[in-house]
Amino acid sequence: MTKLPYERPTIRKLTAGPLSKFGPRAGARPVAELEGVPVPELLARFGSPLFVLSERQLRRSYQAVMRAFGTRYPQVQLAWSYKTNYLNAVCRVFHQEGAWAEVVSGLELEKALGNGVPGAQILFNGPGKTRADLARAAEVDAVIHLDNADELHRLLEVAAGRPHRPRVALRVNLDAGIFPQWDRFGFNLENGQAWQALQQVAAATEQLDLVGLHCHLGTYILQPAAYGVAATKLAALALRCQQELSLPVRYLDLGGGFPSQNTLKGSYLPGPDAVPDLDDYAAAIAEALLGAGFRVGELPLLVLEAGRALVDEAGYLLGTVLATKRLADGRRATVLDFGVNLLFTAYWYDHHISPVRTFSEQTEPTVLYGPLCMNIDVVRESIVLPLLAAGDQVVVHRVGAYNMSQWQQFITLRPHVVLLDLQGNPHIIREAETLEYLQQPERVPAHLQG
Amino acid sequence: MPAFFRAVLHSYSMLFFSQHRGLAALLLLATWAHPWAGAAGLAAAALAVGGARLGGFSREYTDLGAYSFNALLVGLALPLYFAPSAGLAALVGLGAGLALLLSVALGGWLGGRGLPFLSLPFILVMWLLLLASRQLPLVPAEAGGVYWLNDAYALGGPHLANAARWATEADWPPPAATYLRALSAVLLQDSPWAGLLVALGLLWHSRIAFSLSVLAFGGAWGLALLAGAGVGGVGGVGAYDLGANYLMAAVAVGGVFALPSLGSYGWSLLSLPVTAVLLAAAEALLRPLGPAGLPALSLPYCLTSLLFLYVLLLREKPGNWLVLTPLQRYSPEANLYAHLAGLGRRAAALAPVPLALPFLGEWRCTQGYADGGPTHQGPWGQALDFAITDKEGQTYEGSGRTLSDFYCYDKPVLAPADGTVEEVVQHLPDNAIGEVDTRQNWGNTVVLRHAPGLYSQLSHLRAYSVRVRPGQAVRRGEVLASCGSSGRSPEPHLHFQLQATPAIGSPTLAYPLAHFLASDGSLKGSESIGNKPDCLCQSALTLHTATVPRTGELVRPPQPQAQLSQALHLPPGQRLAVQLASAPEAPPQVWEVFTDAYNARYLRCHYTGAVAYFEQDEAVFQCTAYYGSRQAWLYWFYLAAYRVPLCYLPQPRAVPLPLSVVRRPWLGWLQDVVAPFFQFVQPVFTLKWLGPDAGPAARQLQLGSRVVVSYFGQKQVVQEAELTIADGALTSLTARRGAQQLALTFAAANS
Repeated sequence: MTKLPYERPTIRKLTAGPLSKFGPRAGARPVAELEGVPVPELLARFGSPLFVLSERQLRRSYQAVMRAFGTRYPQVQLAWSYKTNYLNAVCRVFHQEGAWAEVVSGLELEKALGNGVPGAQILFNGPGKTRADLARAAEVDAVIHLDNADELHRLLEVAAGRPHRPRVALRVNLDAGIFPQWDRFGFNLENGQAWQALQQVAAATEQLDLVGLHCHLGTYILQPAAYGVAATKLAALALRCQQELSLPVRYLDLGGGFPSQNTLKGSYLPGPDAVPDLDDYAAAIAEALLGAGFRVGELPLLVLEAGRALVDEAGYLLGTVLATKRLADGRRATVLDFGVNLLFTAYWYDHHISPVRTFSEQTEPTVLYGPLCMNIDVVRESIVLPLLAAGDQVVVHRVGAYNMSQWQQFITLRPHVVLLDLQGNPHIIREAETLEYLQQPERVPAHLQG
Repeated sequence: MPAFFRAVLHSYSMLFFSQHRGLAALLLLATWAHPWAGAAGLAAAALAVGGARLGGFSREYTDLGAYSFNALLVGLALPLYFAPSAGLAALVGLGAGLALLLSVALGGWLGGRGLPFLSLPFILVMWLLLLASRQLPLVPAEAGGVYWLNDAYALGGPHLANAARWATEADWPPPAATYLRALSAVLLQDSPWAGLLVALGLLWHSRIAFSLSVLAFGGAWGLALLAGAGVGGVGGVGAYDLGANYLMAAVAVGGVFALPSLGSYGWSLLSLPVTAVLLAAAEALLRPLGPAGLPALSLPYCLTSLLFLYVLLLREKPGNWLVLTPLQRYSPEANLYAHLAGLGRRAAALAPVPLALPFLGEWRCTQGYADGGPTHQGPWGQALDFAITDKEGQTYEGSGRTLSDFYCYDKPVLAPADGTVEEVVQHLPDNAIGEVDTRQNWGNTVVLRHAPGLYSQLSHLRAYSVRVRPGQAVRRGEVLASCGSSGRSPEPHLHFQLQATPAIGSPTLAYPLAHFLASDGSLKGSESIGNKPDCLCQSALTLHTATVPRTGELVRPPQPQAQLSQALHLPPGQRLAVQLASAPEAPPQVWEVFTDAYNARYLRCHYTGAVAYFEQDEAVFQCTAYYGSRQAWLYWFYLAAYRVPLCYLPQPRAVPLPLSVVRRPWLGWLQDVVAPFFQFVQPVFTLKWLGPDAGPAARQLQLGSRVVVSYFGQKQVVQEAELTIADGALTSLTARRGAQQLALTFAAANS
């Protein structure tokens, strides 16, 4: 019989309150491997911490979204939201699956072009497009989603003298019954701004080619019905546009904002139980568009700028326990080798974190701290975990969205990002940063040298 | 050539069910072997065409020569029985008019039964005139055939008489001479030389018809030897004027009214003994009357052909052995090649009720038509089951223990075609996974009525998910209910069947879907294709027309590409101005869209007169026929856009073209001869999208196409072309044929 690993003793307060309806087993189950590859092997090979992405899950998520919407509405197109994770390998997986690109800056536009996306399949969102950005977008024939009147006027100047009219869509914000209402992107529908802008576009039809309408409700929207309301309003606007301005609207872009199964901070239920099924969103949108009164054969294309719903599930962050300690108030604290510098989404979510090896059934609540010498560096305020010791490894789930684009190079360097392909072979898709990389753009004035 | 002369010329070629003007010219020449007959025939044909045009009869039949070939035959025959005189001229006029009237009348009577009138008017007219002439002896009777040499002597002395004798009685090998004389007898001549002209014309027009005539002659010859009657005996092929009956019946039965095939050749051989019996019977009936008798003429041929065609029409299960010509193209080759190119099958796709898949997105056909499936048996064999699967072939995610784990559960079910709701059942509960309700076999069900005797049934729907009421009209694609698992359904799936009666659970009816996209759906999964993503299976999608999904196939409804559909949506009356890209100032050729009497659309080039027939529905643009010069710009377009699926398919499946695109005469003729049995020359049309699918907001689409003829392992590129579509309109065509280049631009033409 092999020797059992040592576990330190722990003292827990006995709470004789009402029984939890979720049953006695609250502790996290161990996750020893990802896509069949042992976690310790990955960490030994690529170092700790380590971001891991599963290509299989990326594709499965994409196909699940397409299945949910494509079996309810005849024409559906996903546009991969670049800002969610613009590692080229990730983008290319989605483009291979058939996704267009949704970009929000000149940088992202160039990234999408570099990934081989034809200009016509790039949707250029964002409230901050410079004149140069607009010129570049017009040049490569991307669709410009107009955000404000200044942008419209700037684009009219850019469009002058071009062989083709730039293709545009109008960003619309509207009251879909959710709070807070995101009214900062695009033109408001209810106060008439959007119609006014459409009239301006119609007047400038010699210079601009209106192809779509766009609406982004917000982020992590948990009410599918709100999408139904938005789709109804947008479809009504499209029909009015078609009838009164003779501008046929070819696509309706209902933006993104679909949740993943992460648990929002302050949520009573865990994400998988609280978040509506994607099918509910699809049903709400399809129902609204099919019933909107478009003529048979003239249904507009439905574009969705899914980001988080496509990538979150496929991302894992692997890390190692550096130390455990007891805080002054008696709470247990665990220091990990990654913090909010890498796990930016720890500000929003109570991430699901699993131990790698098997422990006894004894658990204890603990605070998870990162390695930064900053008070804000808290990964979880409180989580029930087995009795971790220094050197134990953990897996953070659903970290694919935003972390690999919003992470910070702060105090430490950013680690490798590895993609597990369909056979489970790991591929480094972003090298760990080095001191040279960090200092390469730095310049030291002569008087400080030597 | 004015339509009038064309119609007169077609009267000649129509004798062999042809519109070939070369054949017509040779036949016209052959009739002048007997100058009086030639002149009378021409006059009669012209009179009949003129009469038909003045009379306001079907212009189409008139132009085909269908109303005038009987008059032509009357004109050819009368000089055999009456001496040349003014009376004969009057008789020709009378006969031509009578033949025209009978043609129109018989055409109306038999046409409704799908039967041709053949040369029945000619026989009737001849009999009437011969019988009437005994009461009204205005015209001196003459047996023209007998006095033919006297005529020659009178005209040109002994030289001409000798020459004429040589011409008619030279030392030809007996079978060849008899064959040629039999052919000439179709024109009521008796001359191997005239027969040779007819034979050459027939060979020029159709290798299949020619080979059938030779085959029939050989068969009749063999039959006569077998019967011991001797080739010269009564009813034998040797009686030249009657031998033609065998030839014509065989050609009509085996090559014209049925598609040439092994079966049709066998059918036409079977016609020989029947013709022989009819011939002998007709002779026995008419000849013993002596001078009071009547000639049998082509009666045996008409009766045999009509009998053999009518019984084929009355088959309940036609099968594939003997296919009747669906649309007469007046050439056995054209009929056959159009059929081989699948143009006949398209007609089924345009059936009165085009049927679509009753769902959106990609589903797998889990049980097809009675192919050993577990539950689609016997009278319920022609049904389809569908469920949604993922790339691994699973129908569910998670544990698969609850209904909502299944991908297809609660997905919308659509009306497959326009119709009215006949019946709704929706109170039955959905089964737990693995359980079945064998008492309420069909579960929740909607039955739609699409046409008299055509109902569709959708079953195993989710409880209380039906959104329509009985009696309500529904459009194709309207959401009816949600997919569920009620009735005999262990896991959620959709059952779809067509039936002839409205009751739930009626026996099924085989009925094809108009169009659907399919990939074989083999469960290769992600494992075996390495790092190549499964999504590239998109390129393996093929558009299926007028067929039914097979078990295991992944199917989805085609989604029309808006720009492409708009560009190739050519409604009647639309005019295109076509110009050379290099000469934009030159006046354009105008192509205009028309419809014919059968509602078939065609593009006609006003400049060259070329015509390209096409069909277009929501999923496919397909050219069906081309008539005109091969140098006409329209022919370049015909080859460039022969078949264009109107949805984004990066590389649609290659499709066969009719063999008429083959440019090598020797190769084509060789293929023609053996075409009823096998095809070794294969012209193929392939299409390719150049560039990505930019969706409905695309500025420009480019399609590349290639026509390749392959034979004996060789490949010859006939034409390569690129079509450009911008802003929902066809803008340009660039194409290459060998060293030839063509660049055209298109614009909407003002009328």
